[in-house]
Amino acid sequence: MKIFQVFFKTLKKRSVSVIIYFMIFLALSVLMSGNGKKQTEAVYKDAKVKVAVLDRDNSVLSKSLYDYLSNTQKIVEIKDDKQSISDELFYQNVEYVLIIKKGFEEGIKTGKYEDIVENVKVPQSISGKLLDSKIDQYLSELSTYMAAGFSAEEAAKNTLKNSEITADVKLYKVQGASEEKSSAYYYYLYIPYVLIGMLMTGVGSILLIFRKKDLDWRIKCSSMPELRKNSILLLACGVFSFVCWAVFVLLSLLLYRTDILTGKGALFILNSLVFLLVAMSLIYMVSFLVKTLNAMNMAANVISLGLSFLGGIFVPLEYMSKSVVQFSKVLPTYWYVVNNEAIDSFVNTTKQYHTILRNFGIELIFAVLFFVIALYLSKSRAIAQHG
Amino acid sequence: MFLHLLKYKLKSLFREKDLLGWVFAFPLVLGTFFYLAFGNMMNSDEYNFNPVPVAFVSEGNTDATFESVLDSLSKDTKDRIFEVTKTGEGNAKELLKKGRIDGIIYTSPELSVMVSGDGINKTIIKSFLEGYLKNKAIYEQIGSTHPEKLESAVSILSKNISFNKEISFSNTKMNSLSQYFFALIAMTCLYGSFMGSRAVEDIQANLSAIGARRGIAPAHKLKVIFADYLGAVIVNYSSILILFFYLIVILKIDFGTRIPYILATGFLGSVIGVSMGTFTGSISKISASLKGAIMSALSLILSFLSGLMIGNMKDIVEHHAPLLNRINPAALITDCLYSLNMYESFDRFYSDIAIMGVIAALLITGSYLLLRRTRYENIPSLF
Repeated sequence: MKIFQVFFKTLKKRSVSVIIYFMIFLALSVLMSGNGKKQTEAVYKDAKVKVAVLDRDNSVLSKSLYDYLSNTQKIVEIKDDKQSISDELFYQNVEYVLIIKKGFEEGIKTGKYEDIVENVKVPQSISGKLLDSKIDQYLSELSTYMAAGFSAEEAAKNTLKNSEITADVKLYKVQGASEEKSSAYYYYLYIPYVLIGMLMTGVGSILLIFRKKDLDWRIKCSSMPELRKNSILLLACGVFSFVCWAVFVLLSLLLYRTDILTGKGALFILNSLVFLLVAMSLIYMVSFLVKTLNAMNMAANVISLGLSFLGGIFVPLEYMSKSVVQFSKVLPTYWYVVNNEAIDSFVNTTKQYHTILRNFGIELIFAVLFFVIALYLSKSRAIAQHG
Repeated sequence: MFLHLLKYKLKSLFREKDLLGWVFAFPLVLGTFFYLAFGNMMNSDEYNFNPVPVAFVSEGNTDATFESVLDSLSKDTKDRIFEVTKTGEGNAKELLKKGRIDGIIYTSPELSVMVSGDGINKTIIKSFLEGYLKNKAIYEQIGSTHPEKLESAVSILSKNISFNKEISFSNTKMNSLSQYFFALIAMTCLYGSFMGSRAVEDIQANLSAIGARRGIAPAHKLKVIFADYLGAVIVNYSSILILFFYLIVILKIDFGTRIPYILATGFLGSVIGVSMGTFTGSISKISASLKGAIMSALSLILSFLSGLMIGNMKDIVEHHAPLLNRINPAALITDCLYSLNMYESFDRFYSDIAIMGVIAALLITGSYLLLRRTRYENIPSLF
């Protein structure tokens, strides 16, 4: 039990640093989960874009494009010079600037369609990308009418009328499956990043004390077997990590109570608990590989960000290329994310149940694997030091 | 004398393999990860697209044209869009409930779709139906008024014409994903703080043995501080240069053509990073591990706010707390790189650089004020 106590004594000494890490990651998880939902909503919901149209052609057709945009989007008037366009974009007064070039109507009439309009937009704007395709669609219809021999006025009128056609969409309520991903989904999506980042900087810095030569050798020359020593130390990490994890779960209860207090909520929590085990053994393993505190901080960043980006936490898996997704399957975060998704769409079928259980199993295998490697490292370093 | 000090500082930094390895490897490894995760989106031609599973219910009067269009889009080829199950209403709803399909397409009484929620696939089905309805209206109109030109006119609809060209005012292709790489560079700059704090730890007698040794050397304190500082900046900046080389030359990420300005931004960035470290390090009352925690937490949160984890974070901040973007060094670094790509004029770039200069000057002055004229009566913590 000596080792167990030393762990917590060190923790007490380092408490200020650990609290700093804890607060930072708490803040990050709240900020990220709040934002995650908004981001994806922008794709699905047809939000109006703040558009400025600079009509340099002033023709019947260019006016029709303007009318289309003013019907469907929010038009903002800005001055037509480079500096003000740049400034308005930077301060987000407009998200999208459409420049209708001189010769626009002439281009459509003569079939020179390429690049007859230009746009400048806020680079991170998803809705801007959607507007691109809407404008392309409108212009291709307009050109079709013109090519068919309609007059400019008629073509403009027809295209505008066409743009009002919408498909009839009915919503079928499936019990249990919500229309969009729940807030709990987003909160728990970012948990692996938060757990790895926080525990690796917090717990990792304490584990490093045990890797110092003097203390390490002192423990090694006692009668305690390697496995027992490592298990006790891991248990101590576990107790502390569990407390940190519990705070995050409580926070999720506080923020998204309606989502969490369901059967699904329990599965989300269970999934994060299983991942906590993975995170702990991973951190335990890494603590053998770095020597200084600063190196530990850097390693924590590389590992937490790397696992998150490649595992589908910050970038959805469906956006990645097939070969990268294949590679991601060797990362524990991939299975966590897949499971998180499965839980969110869980409607109590046996098949889903099996999938979720299987994913839990795979996550646990990672936890065991990391611990076994840690044990090996613990021993092989011993050889290195004596030899 | 100064060169001698600098030489030994560099030697000692390069001998600390553990830290140095991470300083150089960390940005490269993360850059590679970013590239792998986004590579697909950056060269967006190859998209990991799975056919959208739908059910087709054609009870009542069927629309033969629609059915043939749907069939052609669900043929088992490379550009397959849909995976159609033709079935009755009851079965289709059952499939939708189980989540096997993303929507049910009905042709009677009118063309419509039933979905169970939002999602990219649902948007695809909806826009497919809308496109069909629009094209149908166009065919009918042209067919009834100008039937002789129908064929040539509608061929435009199926062509993929790029009417709309995205421009930026400096003629570089901006990509929304560049923000992640900008933030990575900012983070690498801020990580210079670890070396900065290490540098001042090594000259404070109450913090390290080497500090005590150097305290009794007859070298001018300012020279010693400056040599250590410069050493840290050189090492940090070289890691940034390697990162730039890796990103621009090897991964071929477009940073624009204004390379000298980009390199200057990186330099000022590492000056700020190292100065942040020297400032934190100069507060001699707090322990080294706490300093490490402060710097690590600070670089993390500042990088987060500049868009390291969520690309458009800087824009969100700009909406809610614009002042934060003006004083956050990581946001300033990303903003410099962004404005070099985005704007023709250098106004924005120079104002960012000016603010960064002021921040660096404040941090350096602060460290100097904290470090100067330190005398130690005794240094109990070490011996």
